[in-house]
Amino acid sequence: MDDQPILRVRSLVKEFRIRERGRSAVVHAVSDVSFDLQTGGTLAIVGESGCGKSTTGRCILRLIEPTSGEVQFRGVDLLGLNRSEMRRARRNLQIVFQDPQASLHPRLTVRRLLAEPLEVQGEPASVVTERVDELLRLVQLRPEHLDRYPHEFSGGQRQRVGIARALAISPALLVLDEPVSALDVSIQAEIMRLLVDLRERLGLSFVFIAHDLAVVRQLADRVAVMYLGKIVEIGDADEIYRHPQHPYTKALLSAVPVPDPSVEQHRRRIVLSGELPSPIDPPSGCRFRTRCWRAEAVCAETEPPLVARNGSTATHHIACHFPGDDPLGNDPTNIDALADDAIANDEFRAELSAEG
Amino acid sequence: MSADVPGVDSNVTAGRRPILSVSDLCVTFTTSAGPARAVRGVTFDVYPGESVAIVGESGSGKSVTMMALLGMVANADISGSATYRGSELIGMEVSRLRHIRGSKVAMIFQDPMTSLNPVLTIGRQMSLVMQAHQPDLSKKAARTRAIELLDQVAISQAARRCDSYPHELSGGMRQRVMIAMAISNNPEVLIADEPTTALDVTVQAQIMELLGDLRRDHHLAMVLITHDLGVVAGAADRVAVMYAGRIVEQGAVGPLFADPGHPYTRGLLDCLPRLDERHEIRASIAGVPASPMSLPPGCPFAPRCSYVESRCSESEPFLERHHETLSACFVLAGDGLAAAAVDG
Amino acid sequence: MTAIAVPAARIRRRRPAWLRGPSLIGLISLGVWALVAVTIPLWTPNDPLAPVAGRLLGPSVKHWMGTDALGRDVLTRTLWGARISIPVAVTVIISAVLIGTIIGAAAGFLGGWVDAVLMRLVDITMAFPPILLAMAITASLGPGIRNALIAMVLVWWPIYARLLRAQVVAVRQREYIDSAVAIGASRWLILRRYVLPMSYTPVLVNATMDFGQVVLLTASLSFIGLGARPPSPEWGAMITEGATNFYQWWIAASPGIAILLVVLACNFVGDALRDSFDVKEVTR
Repeated sequence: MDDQPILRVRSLVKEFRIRERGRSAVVHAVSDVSFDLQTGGTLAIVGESGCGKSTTGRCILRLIEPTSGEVQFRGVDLLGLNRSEMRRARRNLQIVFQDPQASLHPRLTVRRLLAEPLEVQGEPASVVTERVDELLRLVQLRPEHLDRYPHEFSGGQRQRVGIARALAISPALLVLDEPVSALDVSIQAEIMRLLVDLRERLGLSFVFIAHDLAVVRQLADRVAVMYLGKIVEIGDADEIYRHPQHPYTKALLSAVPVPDPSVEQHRRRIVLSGELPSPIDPPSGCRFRTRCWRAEAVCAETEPPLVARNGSTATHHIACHFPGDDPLGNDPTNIDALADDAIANDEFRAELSAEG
Repeated sequence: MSADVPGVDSNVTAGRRPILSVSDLCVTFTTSAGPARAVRGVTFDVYPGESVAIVGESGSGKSVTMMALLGMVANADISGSATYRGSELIGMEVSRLRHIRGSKVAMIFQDPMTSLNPVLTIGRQMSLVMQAHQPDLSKKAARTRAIELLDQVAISQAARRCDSYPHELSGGMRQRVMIAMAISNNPEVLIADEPTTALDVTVQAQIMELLGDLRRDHHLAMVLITHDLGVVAGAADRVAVMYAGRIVEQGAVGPLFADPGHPYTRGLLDCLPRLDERHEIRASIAGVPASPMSLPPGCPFAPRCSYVESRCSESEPFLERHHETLSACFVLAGDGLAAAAVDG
Repeated sequence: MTAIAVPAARIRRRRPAWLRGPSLIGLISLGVWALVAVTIPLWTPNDPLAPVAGRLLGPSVKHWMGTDALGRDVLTRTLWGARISIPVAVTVIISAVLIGTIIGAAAGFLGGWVDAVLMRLVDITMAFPPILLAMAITASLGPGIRNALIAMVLVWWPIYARLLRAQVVAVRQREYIDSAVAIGASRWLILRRYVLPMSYTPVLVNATMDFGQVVLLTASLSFIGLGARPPSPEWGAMITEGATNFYQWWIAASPGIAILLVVLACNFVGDALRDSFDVKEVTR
């Protein structure tokens, strides 16, 4: 059982009942999501707001109770556990939230914030003190920070506290829900480096939720792209970035700006038309078809299954009737061309410094 | 000053005056914990039709600069000068300033929801904005124009959307409405304060494309305030990088990205995640941004800088030529390197 | 607009709002009242229940607020009244807050049918004007300060229950609650350490302000004969007695001023408390 995934999610569904204009309606937040995460791996779940990525993350931890499906952690179905079993199981899975300002109890000092998970999980007091010091070193905070409150820190330091709290009870799996989105650019990189460093040192597995494909590029080995509650494409990171197959993935990749004018000014970009449909009444068939430039009649009739396709590797699954390159050559994006531009730019830089 | 700015195409500037000219602008807030020097001597020009990006992290003073010159900052000491077509904006009487603010210089903000009135339909709000500056515009004509504008910002079924309330629209559509409102009085300068920060990437792409089209069609000058260098790369002609209330580097977008002359710009570019290459994460800027409440002596970036020398904490560097940009750094610009500007 | 975050540590050093200005005056005056209530038997030269001089004498050097229809010293009786009004108000507020907290927290935290049932109960109680309901309850239990106290608790708890429930429902949605669930905290711990400490401030502020209101209601009930009965030097009862001696203003004025001072002091403190809790973030 060596190759047993640490996390196996099967047919996860979350529906919220809401009342809209006096009538009750069902929001299909997550519809039939399945994926595996290997021990030590990082799965990035990427998508835009309303795609269900955060709901998926919270369903894994049962912070939101899924409507149906299976969430297996090391072979144990978490959804079958009762309340006290689940509390013990939480030792293994922790979450880092987007906004540490909102997710840290504002009236507890860092010392208490870090000690609390240990106390809750029944660690003796002697272990707690020692472990708190260790955690502080782990996330590169100083001992004098222990007696401060969350609001006395900068955004980046606060997120370090959030990470330390999540790591306190030595979990094997971390769900990272947009951990750097609220931070300044220069701070983002530091936190990302810390996360990578911790993953290597502690042998963690990550589910990394992000809205931006660029952010996860540096640490994901698998990427799942979600649109309107469904995974539309999942595969090894390099495959997704180099050979995106689903039109939505292509659009998402092409929308991310590259901080390089020489690339940016010659780049052809897919600009999606229209608006995200309502998750209360998602489109029939393929949910992306209303905004897809390759949609045909079949897309409205049958929902494309998430499977390996011609031209994709066995672990690269796409939910699309017409994946891959447009036979008419209408695909406005090409990552390889991007890379070429980047090389050209590097040469330009080299030239400049030679002259300087 | 203008002749000295690298990156300003001499063909553009020849015989033309800047439309917006800011010089030595300072904004100091009085807080209960002492003065906060949010903006400390910012100087830049905007020429007709060009796009200038002001880049910085939170607290760098990038928004305050623009708010101050439009008289939208309260409880602060403002000094220096900001002129629109030669008339001084700082200290201008409110009624005249208001006239310029809505019609000649328009502004859009990060969060359209807080700038839109939730109890008025968007058509009505747009009419009000237009009528404020064109009092003789009839209600009917204003509505027709509003529909036309909504069409222009690519809102489908503009006539129907005109009667929607802000909460009925998505974030991207609300930002389109804000843009439609901003261009309704045919401004010459559009100030966009983090226009896409609250939006998803694909929506951001839509909005940036729209702004680009409008700029071309209306010959609009744009001041883009943002923290996102990726957006800047695609949308700006010139860039000013702000840190701790000062412009630390400015220049044309190409050279500034290819050969930045300030360690802060270098650091920012280095630590950006990139889609087109997978690289090791380089966190090249340690520490936290300087607080306007307690600036370090000398160069405010010195405590975080990897090039730091002893003179950096003695006095504050001014903008000097570094290759093709202007950069405020003792070590990399000015006397540090021979000013070998590569022109043309 | 970019808000400039002021280092919070520096702001904290200042004296909190409830220890400055009117609030400080309010606190001192409440302190003095409490001190008087506790110590008055030790130093008053007069007996509050026995005649000490002639009847209906005006204010004089010997009797600062004059004497009443039975020749008792009005000032002594007024100060002695604090021994009734303040403990009654304290008891009412504490009991009402306790009951309101338990019920409000249960409704807000558990939700579902528990919430529905408890909140309907609150709605029913609050459908009556408080003074009428208090009168009705006291009348049915029989007049007397103890029954008036019970009536006031019954009238008051729903206010706190509703306040606290609204807070608990809001706090329950916060992300730090998710964070507590994620580390495996029990529901009881979450309620105790996370939900209640973050919800109680409006209750505290209201309780402070209501303190004055309870003093007033006690007096009102006594005034109409449902609370403390003469010869008890309760303020409301004293005003009733004073009302019959229309031209001897000092008899009613003295307890009236006492009520005014206490209510005002409570409002000062309550206002300042609310202000100091409201300001979460100092911007610019």
